[in-house]
Amino acid sequence: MLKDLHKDVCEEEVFASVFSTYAQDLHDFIYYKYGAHFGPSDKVQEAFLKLWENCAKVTSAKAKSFLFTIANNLTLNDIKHQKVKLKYNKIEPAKDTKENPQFLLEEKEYLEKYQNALAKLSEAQRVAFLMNRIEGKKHQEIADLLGISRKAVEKRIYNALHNLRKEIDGIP
Amino acid sequence: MKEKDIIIKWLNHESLSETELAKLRDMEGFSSLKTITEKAHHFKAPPYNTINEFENLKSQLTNKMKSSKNNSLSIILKIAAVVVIAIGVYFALPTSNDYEVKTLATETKDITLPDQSEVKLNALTSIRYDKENWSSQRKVYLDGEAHFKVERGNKFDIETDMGTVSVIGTRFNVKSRANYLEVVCYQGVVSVSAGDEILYLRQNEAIEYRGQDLEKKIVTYDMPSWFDNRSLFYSRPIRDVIEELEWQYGVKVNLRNIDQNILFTGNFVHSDLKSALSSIAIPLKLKCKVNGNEVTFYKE
Repeated sequence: MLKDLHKDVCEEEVFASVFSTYAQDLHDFIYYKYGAHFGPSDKVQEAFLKLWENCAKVTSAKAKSFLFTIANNLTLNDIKHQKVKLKYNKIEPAKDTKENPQFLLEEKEYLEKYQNALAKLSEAQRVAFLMNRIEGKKHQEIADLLGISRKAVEKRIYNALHNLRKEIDGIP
Repeated sequence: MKEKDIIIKWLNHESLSETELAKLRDMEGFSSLKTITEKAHHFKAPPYNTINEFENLKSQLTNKMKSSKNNSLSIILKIAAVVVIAIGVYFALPTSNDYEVKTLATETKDITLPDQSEVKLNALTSIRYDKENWSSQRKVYLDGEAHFKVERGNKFDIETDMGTVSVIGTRFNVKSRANYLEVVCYQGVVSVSAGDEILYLRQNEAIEYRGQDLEKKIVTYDMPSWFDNRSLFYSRPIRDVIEELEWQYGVKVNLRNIDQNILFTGNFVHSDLKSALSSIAIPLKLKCKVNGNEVTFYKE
């Protein structure tokens, strides 16, 4: 993967490998944390531009935390108290659907509730939970990406699940 | 194994044993949790095409990539520049301990020197002194105009471009311009040395120096006029008045069709350019035009 962790990222080859290693995760991280509102892929671009500008100061070992911090800060700069809304993918109305309208309506209501519940989670919980559930990442992988302990990740995901259930099922 | 641990294990995509699975299924609210974990995929982030995005980034970086070849050189240049500037600054300042106070156009400032002597600076004035060695040598460098109220003690020197003013416990005003030095003594004794002359001033005496002779005159006021934000003139050539106006307001003044030696008696305020201009123009029957930072006086 990354050959020399102490090399700075000024070399095109190293830079490209940093990009292919982290770009997707960085994008997902920003998306799950802040939603589509602030253009996650733009933030990834900007973060990598910053990384290039500072390439001499950043070793490839430090590139990950540099990128995550920069992208996060860039997004925070953009945020003006807007609420996070993760879009749910529209349920495609299949042409010869066997599902009745009743079911589709219930499904829609459920996803709306889900959407609100996600928005109410803390950013930390939402990121960990969705990376785990959607991107299929293991706890340790998430811990490495975010630079926190595996225990903390477990806790975040577990609590996220419980908070979601409380919110969706209406349990006080 | 506790319920929580089983859920965590399950969430971590690990395979569970039969008993663990059974336990999980029997848990209260499990079906609800299961639905939540399964429906999560509806919120998947939009697809991210790493290859396209990298091409995108590369095109943005093309220019920077080119310039980066000189990276190491430019860093050396930067370091060299800093060193050069540092050396320059070091030699440009007479002493590293020097302390400087400056005023802007239309600003006045009160400062207290280390021996409690009071200095009031008029507009566009700078004063510099050595804080560390103040007790052994009371000396300030003045460029501009200031009023001094000096505490009793050793010799107190004020160095200007045009000459040196030395005092012992007194109150006086020093005005230093490019080609003009004026010292007014309000209390005590002041000695002024300019060119190769030395002159002593007593209370209510003043001198003017334009590079030739020290001219002594008597003043009747006991405070500089700029204390009430005014400049006062008694039979002074218009060019001196204009110079003072430029100084106070930071404007550029042009005279058109006007004899530079006509005399002006009167004053102008420091707080309002418009009324200051009228105070000069009306008594001399001049017209005046303002264009941004430029003022033109002319005769019709």
